[in-house]
Amino acid sequence: MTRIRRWVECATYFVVGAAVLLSTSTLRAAKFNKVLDIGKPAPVWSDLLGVDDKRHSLSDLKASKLVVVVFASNHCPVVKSYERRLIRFVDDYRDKGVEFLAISVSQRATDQLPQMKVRAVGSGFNFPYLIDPSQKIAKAYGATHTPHVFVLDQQRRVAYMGKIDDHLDESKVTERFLRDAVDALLAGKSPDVAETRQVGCEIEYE
Amino acid sequence: MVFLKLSKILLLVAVIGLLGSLGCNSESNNTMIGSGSPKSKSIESESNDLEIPGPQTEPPLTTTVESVVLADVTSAAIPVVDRSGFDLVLAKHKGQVVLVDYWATWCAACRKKFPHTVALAKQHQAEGLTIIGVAMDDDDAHDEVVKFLAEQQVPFDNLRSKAGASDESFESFEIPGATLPCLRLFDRDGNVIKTFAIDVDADKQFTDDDVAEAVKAALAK
Repeated sequence: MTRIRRWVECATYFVVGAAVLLSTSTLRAAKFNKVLDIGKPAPVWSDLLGVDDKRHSLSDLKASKLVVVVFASNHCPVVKSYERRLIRFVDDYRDKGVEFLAISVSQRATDQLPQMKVRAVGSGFNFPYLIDPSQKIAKAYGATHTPHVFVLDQQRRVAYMGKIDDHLDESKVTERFLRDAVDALLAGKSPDVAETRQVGCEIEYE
Repeated sequence: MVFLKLSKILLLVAVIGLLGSLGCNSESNNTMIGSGSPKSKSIESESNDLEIPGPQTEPPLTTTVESVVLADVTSAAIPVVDRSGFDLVLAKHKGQVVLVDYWATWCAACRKKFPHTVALAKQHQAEGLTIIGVAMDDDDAHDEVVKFLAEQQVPFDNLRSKAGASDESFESFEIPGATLPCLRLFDRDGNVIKTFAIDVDADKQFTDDDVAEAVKAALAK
């Protein structure tokens, strides 16, 4: 009996150890992102409603070389500070095969679809602005702040994540992380900086 | 009675502002104190809906926790200030320990911490603690600021930064890393004792207990 018990114990340790190793290898998180790491397959969104009253899915964007998704919100002044920069980004990169979109998962009254429509028109958004009331997509990306940006490569793996650039005040920006990452990927290279610490307004998960 | 003191300031501002309003320009519909350089002490008021507080009675010399009066958190009672306006308000509280809570409606962590600041006010007001809330919110969030403060039933006075949530606003109020939440404690002479700020690279951030302990130590001096 003792021998059998030892064998069972030993086997249990082996199974548990293997499970731990497996889980750490598949769920390995990055420096700042607690959920997702660079090089991992991008979580897929499907049928998210946009301010254009249409449903949007990642699978709609198969023709695009790169996809840039930013988690955003109406209520966050940091997002507001970046709006013009993001609109210019879309203008500069759309013809290069880069698709850009914003997703809000905020459940605040100021972040509901009618208010999002007002913002999109008022600020002249030239990109889809989607809402995910379930908040699942932001959780899957490990998004913690708005704006938190993710660049997906042609194979739809996460190639860059974090902040858009290094300063809230555009006149003081010295590092354009998002543009640098996208430029590198379009040139067939890996971004020099693949992850930065996300900044902005904390996403409130229900 | 912090409220009464601030009401006096408001009354003064309102009266001077109305007298001088012919020469003033302001885009804001809210009361605004002290724009311009700290030395100029220029006071502007161009509010269309400004309610001028009526004559106030002299505040009692002492107060007790039971007699704490909830501060007025109507829109007109939340002055919009720049740094010099804030400094004027702060100077009025010399002789008291002052805790300034820089917060914003868009800052989830600030809203979570805010009830602790309210509790500190109720607990230590009688010992000479004054709290000033400064909302780092833009003009379009003013109503939300008013709503949040009403919900919290704040027993202290509140201001909103004129430059809102802009980088300039954070710089002028010297908020480290332009990151909220941030609280700053002043001694009875108006000197900064400690600034509680977020260090984004640190694993551990300041806690409510850290703030409470510093407040108690400052009051004991």
